Amino acid sequence: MRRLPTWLLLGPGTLWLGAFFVVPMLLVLAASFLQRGVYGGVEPGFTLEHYRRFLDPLYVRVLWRTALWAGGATVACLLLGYPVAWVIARSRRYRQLLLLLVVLPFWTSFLVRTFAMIFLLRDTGLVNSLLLRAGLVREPLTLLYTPFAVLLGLVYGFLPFMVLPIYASLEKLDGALLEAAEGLGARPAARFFTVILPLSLPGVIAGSLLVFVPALGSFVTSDLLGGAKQVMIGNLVQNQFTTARNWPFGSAASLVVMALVLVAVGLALRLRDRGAAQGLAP
Amino acid sequence: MKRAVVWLAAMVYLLLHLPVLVLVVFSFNASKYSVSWTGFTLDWYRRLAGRDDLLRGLRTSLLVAGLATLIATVLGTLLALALARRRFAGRRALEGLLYLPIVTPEIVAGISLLVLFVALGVPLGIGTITIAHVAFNIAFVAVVVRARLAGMDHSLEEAALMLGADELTAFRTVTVPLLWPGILAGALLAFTMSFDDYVITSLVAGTGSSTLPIVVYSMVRRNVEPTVNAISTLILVVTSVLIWLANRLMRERPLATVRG
Amino acid sequence: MPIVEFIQVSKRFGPLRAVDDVSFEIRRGEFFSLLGPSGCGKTTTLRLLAGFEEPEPGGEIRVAGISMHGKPPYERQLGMVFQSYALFPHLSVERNVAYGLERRHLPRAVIAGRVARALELVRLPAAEFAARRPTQLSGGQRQRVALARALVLEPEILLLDEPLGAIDLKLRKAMQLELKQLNRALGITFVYVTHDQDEALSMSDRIAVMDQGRLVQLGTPAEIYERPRTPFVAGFIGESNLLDAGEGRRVAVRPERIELRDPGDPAAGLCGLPGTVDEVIYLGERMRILVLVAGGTRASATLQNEGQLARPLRWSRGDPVLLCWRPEDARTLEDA
Repeated sequence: MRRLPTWLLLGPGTLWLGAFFVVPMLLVLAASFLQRGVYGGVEPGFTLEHYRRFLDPLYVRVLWRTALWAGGATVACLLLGYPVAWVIARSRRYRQLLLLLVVLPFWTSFLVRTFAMIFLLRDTGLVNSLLLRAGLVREPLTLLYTPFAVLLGLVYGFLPFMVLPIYASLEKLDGALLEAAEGLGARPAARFFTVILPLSLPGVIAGSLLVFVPALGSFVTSDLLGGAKQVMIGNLVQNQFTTARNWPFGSAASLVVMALVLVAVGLALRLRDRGAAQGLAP
Repeated sequence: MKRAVVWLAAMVYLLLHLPVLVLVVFSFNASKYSVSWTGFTLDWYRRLAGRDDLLRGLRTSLLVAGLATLIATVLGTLLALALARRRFAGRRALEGLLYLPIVTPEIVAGISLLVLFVALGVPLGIGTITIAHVAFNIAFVAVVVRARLAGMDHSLEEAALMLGADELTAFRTVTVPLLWPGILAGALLAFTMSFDDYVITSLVAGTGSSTLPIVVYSMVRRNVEPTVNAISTLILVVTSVLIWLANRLMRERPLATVRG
Repeated sequence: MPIVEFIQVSKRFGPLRAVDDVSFEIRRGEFFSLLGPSGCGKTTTLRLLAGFEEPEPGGEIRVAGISMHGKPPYERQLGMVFQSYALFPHLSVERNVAYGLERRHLPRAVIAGRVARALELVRLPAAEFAARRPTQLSGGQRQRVALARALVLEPEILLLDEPLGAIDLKLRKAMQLELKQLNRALGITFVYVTHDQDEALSMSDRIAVMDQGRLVQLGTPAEIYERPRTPFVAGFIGESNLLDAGEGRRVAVRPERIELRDPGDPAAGLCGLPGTVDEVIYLGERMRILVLVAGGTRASATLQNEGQLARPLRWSRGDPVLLCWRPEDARTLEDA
């Protein structure tokens, strides 16, 4: 039989992923328990000190700040993104165009978009110039290098990730359900909370996950928009592997991030399964 | 109520696109520091041509992205085919493995690869960058191609078999033509992601090699001249075209004739 | 010699026995149907014949006396029309029909001629349809192209997997007739899978009724309909009343075989299950009378409509009646 054997289809890809994703993660796991090397790198010797360091209030604050900002960005994206998804799902004529307009920023350079934020928010940036020109302020507002900037950057960066899954969910919504609800006496607000929202929940969960997880591991946004003071755990990790040269601690920090990510994913899957059990279509 | 929602959505669209539009507009502004418009100019674009570091970075990016896309597209497509068409043990595990690169934060993926390369004594450079890019692109291509395969009527290949085509011929004459837009779209997106990547690349590039994002990153950090605006605009235009193309391809061919 | 033989064929998917020890023969040129509800194994049986699945060890499938063991579909020389038609969306109608001929590397002129003739056969004039794409065709037209594509290869056996499911009623009846005529005209053996018993009854020479993987009854339409062997067959094909025939016996009687008489009618003779008229339903061609009998069962009697305006029915709701039937129309069931 002239048929490509399954191992040939699976082999190369799986090997590559195994070698360059799984194995490195295992190495990081191992490294997190080793001693710090003098010139960087690791030295043998089992220790839990790197994990214990996370109990230090300094690092607890970093973790807390990261989770808080990621969560805040997620909520903001939800509130801003849902109406957009709704409008796209309702529109028939412009749907492709509207989708493209959301997808485009989704894919164009994250770096460039973050720079666009800098350009707007810096002291000599557009926002400040307009405010000064209008006479609303006498001195430029410090917008850049603030928690506000980071949050704004996160929302701006990840908003499309929220819109698309919600749109996918809403698009499957049967218009007849809303008509039925209306016929049974439900007003617009009631229709939203009792029909639309529950049925779009899978999309909401997926979108929230797609925003929360990358936001947790975010590095570029906080580095460029936050400066040295707004440290998220992603910056902490990068720092350990470059300037601070504390690889084991960096490894431990990475695993903490991964743990947070896996918890978030697990929770989202749980919620989705519970929703599916209650009859909400996937 | 409905009007309010539409207005809110419009505002959000504005928020999404305004910053970038501003960026683009000011790449043509003659003024160097001030945000007031002093005149139209292409000076900043001309200066780009003179920047060796940018040109080198561009060349490196194209090389890495091209190579990584090629490898990842082949491997990812093969994986997608296996997942969609074959039964095998450990299927669930593979699906999980495919989502790992998508879920893992870039910083974690980057440092783990750094640890690997250092542990193995592999010198950092274009090779390690390419290896890293392939790793995260495979998962992505596999997911995209798999989605396309899932939408494909499975009985098309069976029909080909009944009409006398063996597996390879059926693959060549039925599966590939129908799958091709999906493969191409996956490749285009992989290329874009590879071209744009900063975090992972910066960690495994070592001191010798710089891709375009790495060069632009340091420019952004110093953010002095509108030259940064110019290069940003160019990157934007190129990637937008690629994405638009990928979008068109995905919508092009019907995958199956729906019954009735 | 039969053209197809299934000898103790089984097929398992994990713990599920999709096809369970099935044996039958198909005669050359006949219109043979596999009939049953969803999940009964009829499609799996067809796929086993097509070569997409292999039977469990111990079972054998033979075509024209040759064992099909280990033979992939493309070596079996069978034609197939799929449930979803499976027309190649990236090829025109002409290229679709030509596909099998191209695989045989026939000269282009020959292919063109055979494609044109095949399209004529299914009444899709080549001039109008050859260049079209499947997406530009209606459901009925796609079905014909799928047929042409299979027939152009002049197979000895044509497999059809519920090909008329998505077509509306009027067109379906017309297509059923066409398929039957093709079967007769071309002399090709048709193996037809359907869950629609009317379809099977009207088209087939013989029907194999399946349930839960097993072959329950094999016979002509008349045998299946008039002499069902099990309650399942009696219930699946047409309607059946399960009635108390006295002396503890239970029988199955078709609604159209029941006569209604007034109580005390001397011509009633031996028959006579008393009951009360519960509903009178107007069906146009027929009248359906639902009668409540002792024990709470609702029996259904179908009577010819003699014209309710000129000669209305004698009974209406609440009237007492006698249900009568001839002894030969009552089936004592095997697993009663």
